[in-house]
Amino acid sequence: MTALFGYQKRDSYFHRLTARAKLLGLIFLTVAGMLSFDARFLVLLTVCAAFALYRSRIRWAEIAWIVWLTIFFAILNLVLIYVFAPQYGVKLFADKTVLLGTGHYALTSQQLFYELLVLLKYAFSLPLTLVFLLTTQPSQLAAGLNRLGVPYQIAYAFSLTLRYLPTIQTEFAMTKKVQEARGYTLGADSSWPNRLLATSRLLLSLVFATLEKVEVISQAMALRRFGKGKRRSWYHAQHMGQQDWLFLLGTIVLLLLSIFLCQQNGGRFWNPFS
Amino acid sequence: METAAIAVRHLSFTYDNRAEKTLDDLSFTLPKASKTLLVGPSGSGKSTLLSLLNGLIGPQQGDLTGTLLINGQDARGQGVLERSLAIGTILQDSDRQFVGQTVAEDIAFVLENEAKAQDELRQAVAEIAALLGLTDLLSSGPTLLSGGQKQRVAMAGVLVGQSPILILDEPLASLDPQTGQELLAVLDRLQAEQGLTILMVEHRLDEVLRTDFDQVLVLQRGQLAFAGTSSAFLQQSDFEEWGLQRPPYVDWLCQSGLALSELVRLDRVDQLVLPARSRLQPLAPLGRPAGAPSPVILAAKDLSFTYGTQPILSHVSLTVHRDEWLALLGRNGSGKSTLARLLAGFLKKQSGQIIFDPEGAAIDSGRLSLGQWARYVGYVSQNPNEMLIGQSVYDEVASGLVRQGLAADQIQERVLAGLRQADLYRYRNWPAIALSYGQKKRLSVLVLAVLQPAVLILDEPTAAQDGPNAQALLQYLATLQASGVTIITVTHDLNLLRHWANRLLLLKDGQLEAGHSAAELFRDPVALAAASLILPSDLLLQQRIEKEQR
Amino acid sequence: MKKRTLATRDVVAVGLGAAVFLILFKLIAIPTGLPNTQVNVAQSWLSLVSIIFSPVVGALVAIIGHSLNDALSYGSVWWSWVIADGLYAFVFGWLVKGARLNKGRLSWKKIIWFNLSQLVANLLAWVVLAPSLDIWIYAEPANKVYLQGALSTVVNVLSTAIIGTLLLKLYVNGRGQDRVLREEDE
Repeated sequence: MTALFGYQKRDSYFHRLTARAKLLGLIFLTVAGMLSFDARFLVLLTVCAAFALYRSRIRWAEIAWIVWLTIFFAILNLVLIYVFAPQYGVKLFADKTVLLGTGHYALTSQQLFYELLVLLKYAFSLPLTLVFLLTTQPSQLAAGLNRLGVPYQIAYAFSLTLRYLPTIQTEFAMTKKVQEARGYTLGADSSWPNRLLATSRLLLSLVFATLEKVEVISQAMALRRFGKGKRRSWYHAQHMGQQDWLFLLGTIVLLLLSIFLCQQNGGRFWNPFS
Repeated sequence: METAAIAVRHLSFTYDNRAEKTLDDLSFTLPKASKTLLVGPSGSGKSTLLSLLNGLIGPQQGDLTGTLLINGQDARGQGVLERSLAIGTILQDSDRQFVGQTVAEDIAFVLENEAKAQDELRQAVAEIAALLGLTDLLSSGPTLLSGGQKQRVAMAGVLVGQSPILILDEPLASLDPQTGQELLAVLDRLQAEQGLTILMVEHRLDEVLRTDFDQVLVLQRGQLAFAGTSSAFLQQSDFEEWGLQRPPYVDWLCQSGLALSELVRLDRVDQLVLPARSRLQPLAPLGRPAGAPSPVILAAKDLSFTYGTQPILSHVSLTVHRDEWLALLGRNGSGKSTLARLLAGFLKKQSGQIIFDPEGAAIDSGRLSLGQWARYVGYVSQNPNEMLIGQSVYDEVASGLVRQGLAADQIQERVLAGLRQADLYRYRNWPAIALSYGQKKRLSVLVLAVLQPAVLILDEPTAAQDGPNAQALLQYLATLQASGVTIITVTHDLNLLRHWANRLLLLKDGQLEAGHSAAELFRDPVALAAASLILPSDLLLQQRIEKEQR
Repeated sequence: MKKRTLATRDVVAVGLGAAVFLILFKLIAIPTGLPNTQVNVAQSWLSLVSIIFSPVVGALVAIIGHSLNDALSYGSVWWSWVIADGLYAFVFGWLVKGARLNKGRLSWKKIIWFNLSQLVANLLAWVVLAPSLDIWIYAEPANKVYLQGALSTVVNVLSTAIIGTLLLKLYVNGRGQDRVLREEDE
């Protein structure tokens, strides 16, 4: 199961941090990075994130696919922005330096700089998320969510998602094959109305299969006293140590820096053109 | 006098939306540290009784009268959470019951919900895991476990809650016979060590009665039809009416004209004492030999399959003949299900060849899509919920024919004929989800059979069904076979192997052992162990007698 | 008094519902012919979960399912769309709450109400909320995000109108309730 989530059991600084500290740190840094449109800060954040990825002993082969996919989507988004708003940077930075071409689609330094900012947003968040996903044990994450104030019912629902994902996937794959064997295919060789019908049939089977599971599993959980108290404990709960607090302190400093820069710049953008 | 673990007096229950009583004036007692077997056909009220005991249903769901004492206290007002302190329940489906992401978490679940401190969780889990031999598996997820291991985790997860009464709902249903015996042994050991009170529902009598029970209860139409010792139980003559299959050795003793009531330890085939000079009739021959040799319908050559780096099948070749009933045997992980799915085209072939009708049309599976191949070879998976999508019974059957573009009246004719054959005609307008498990199972065979494939492959067709339902399914398969369909079953069902299959093939570690007849298989302890089977009780008795005579 | 915690049945529904949501994103994709635009079947699933369980369950399924899917397949979570999906499930579920769509026969009136509700909820989520969040959080150009929002709305409304309605109809038929089941010999 953990294969899908990406968690790799290894020993590194980030593997040793508690899930709670990592989750909170991820939230702080994501907010910091979302808030700021200061290129200097985003570069700093990206460097930190890349360093974290390097330190977490993750192998390139494990993440290559997702990195290429993200690069593809990032470029696609950049192109889309250019197609729809080629002069958006000019508006944002109230300046226009034409580098190439003329008219509406003229390439300006301001637009390039804006698109660089968008790229940096992808660049900092991907390594952070990867470090988080690949070094955090899913059960510890559920426990951590609860400790961070998420009601244990919701934290456990999250845990159940990861637990039953492979089960549902296997059953669903079988249902899909069974339907295919009976002539209801989703593939390209099947006509449009056929595909719609095949899809609806598969969804229907999922509805009933899920309803049946919900009944049985919720009974099984009630029989083992789930929902009894206001609180529950977790086998995989972790205690915050000195390392965790230091790590959190670091992320808070970065968050404060982001807010400070917003104030300094008189807004979320840092304008090198003025 | 010591108070009983459970005492039920004049207990009746009527569901809110039903006119008739589901349970009618039940009275029985489970003494502390006793072991009770509860049996009865489906619909007899077994599940309702269990749910009333563990608190899943109560006065909110219907009209409840009579008294229910748990450990001497009136339990009628308690909900499921309070009740679960005294009674632990192990559900039939050990995969659904496994809610943790790892074995350790799942065992700890009940204590987590009690908000116990973490040290306590760790210590309790370590202790119970050692008791049940699960220590090495603590960090494994459920997908890596076998059915027997999941069953032990479920037990650990309930025992860790210190519930002195244990209810088990058909614990053998999804286990092979050998693993089932191991589980029963573990249960006996735990009971001896911890003084548990056990109430077990199980209809695989020939297997479950290899261990001792203090008491047997038979439910029929909501009433207690019998209560007594297992020896007294086996002397009853109403098994057919109760929808139960009497262990074959008792049938054998009966047919040989022995007075059951005079036999010592009738309840245990391994300890039964036969009177001196008693003569038993010869047993009926085993198996169902095929008729005249028929042409090959399906040939597989040199099939190998690996999952990741793990080899599952290596160089398997086999031929299947027209109209025969072939049984694939092997223990968990031997590759038999993989082989079945490869033959059916549900798994993509990695190497080798599968040819349909090699002496005639010679159709190569590699050239066809699954939909095309399924016209020759159909596959029925073990879980009927994967086979059905939730339409009406009629539509489930008809939808495959609609796809083939048949005329409406032709479809109707074939569907109705099929429904009659599968004994489902009366339910044709029901939603499929409203059917019982056994009916769903027959329907899942019919949705394939109606497409008239030449070969039908079934994975564990009789698993988790009670006697009458399993018998009805086998009867239906025999009808299909008689109409010219070749049947291949992956199975651990002793009854199927003995009475229905024509030929047996044993898989061991991904390789095909020699083919067996049923008679050969049951005479060969090595093959029997490799198939994770046990000897049916009458054969066991026969062996004992032969040994003693020597 | 209003109960603040989720019932156990709802907890399980959220957990499994989100797992199915993830699987739908990955395993069923009907290409529209346009690059990168797939018919989103998951939205039909969300709609039915909101009807069968509750708007809150629907919203939690969307949030857990969508964010997990983003994290697992793209390595970063696009929060504005996650929140919009959650809002869709909640608003839709709230609008159809009184209509008892899963009880009794599925009349034309109910089908129209189902589709009006999904239209309103889709508009709110994808034309109002998602683009606003995109502008606010990611400072993206307005005309781009509104066009993306409009395109998502069209795709989602159409797919829910076709697949969602078909699914609801099959579901109501397959449940076959409100009638006593009788064995029929002839």
